[in-house]
Amino acid sequence: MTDMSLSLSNPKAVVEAGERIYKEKYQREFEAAHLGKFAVIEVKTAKAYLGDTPEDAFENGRKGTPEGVFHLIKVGSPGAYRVSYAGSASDWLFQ
Amino acid sequence: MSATQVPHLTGSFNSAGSPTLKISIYGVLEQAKKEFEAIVDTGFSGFLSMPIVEAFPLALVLTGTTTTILADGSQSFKFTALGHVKIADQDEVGVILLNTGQSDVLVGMEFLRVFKRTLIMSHRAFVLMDTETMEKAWHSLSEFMKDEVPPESDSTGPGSAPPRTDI
Repeated sequence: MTDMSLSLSNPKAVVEAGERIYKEKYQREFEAAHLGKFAVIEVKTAKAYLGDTPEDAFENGRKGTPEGVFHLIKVGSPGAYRVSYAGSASDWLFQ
Repeated sequence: MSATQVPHLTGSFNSAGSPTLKISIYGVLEQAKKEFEAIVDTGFSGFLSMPIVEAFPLALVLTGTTTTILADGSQSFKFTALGHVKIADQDEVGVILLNTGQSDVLVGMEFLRVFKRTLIMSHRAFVLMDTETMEKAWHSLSEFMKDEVPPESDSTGPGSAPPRTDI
C-alpha cells in the first residue's frame, strides 16, 4: 500500500508508515540476510534501500527515489541509533 | 612519518568537564557554514545530533525520520538530514539527527568512523588521531614488544620482565 500524501510536515505519520511498511514487507527477509545493515524505507512508494552505513542507505534511497521521504532503520535493532541521554517530552513534533 | 607529524585533532574540555571539539556544519551551501562546539559523546552511536532550530540556517538536506533508543530503553523519533561537517581541511558528509527540543551539539561513534579517527583521552586532554596512522603505530609497537620481551617460558624466574599486555 502506498500513500503519496505523506510528507515531512507530518513526521509522526512518516515514522508510523516507515515502521509499518518495514514490519509488513521487509523485516523477516532483512533480518535473515542483512542483520546490522541500515535500511531506508521510502514511505510514499514503500520501497526499501539497504546500505552498510546510514549514509550508504540514504545515498541508495536518493538515487532510487530522488524526491523521496525516508525512514531510517537499523536491521535487527529497535532503533537506528543509541543516545546516551534519557527521554524527555521535548520531541513535540512527533506527539 | 615521525610522531610529531601524525595528523591529529586536539579538543578541549568545557566548564562541565565534557570533551568538546570545534566543528563547522553546513548543508548544500558552504557559505552557510557555522562553527559549533560539539561534545564528543561515545554513548551516542550516530554521527551528529543538534537542535533543529540551529539547523535551519545551515541549509541541511532534510531526508526523513528515524527512531533512537534512549538511555532508559525508551524510543524517541527524530528528523534526519544529510550535512557536511568540516574540521580543519577535512570535510565529511554524514547523517545528522535533529532534536526538536533544546540540546547540545553532539558527535558520536559514527563521527569517528566517518572521519577515520581514534579517540585518545585522559582526564586532562584528548586528541582524535588518524586511525590508519594509529593502527600502524600499534602494529609497530606490538612487533617491537615481541622482539624485546623474552618468551613467557623463559620469564618465570626472579627479575623477569613484567607480564605483557597485547594492545
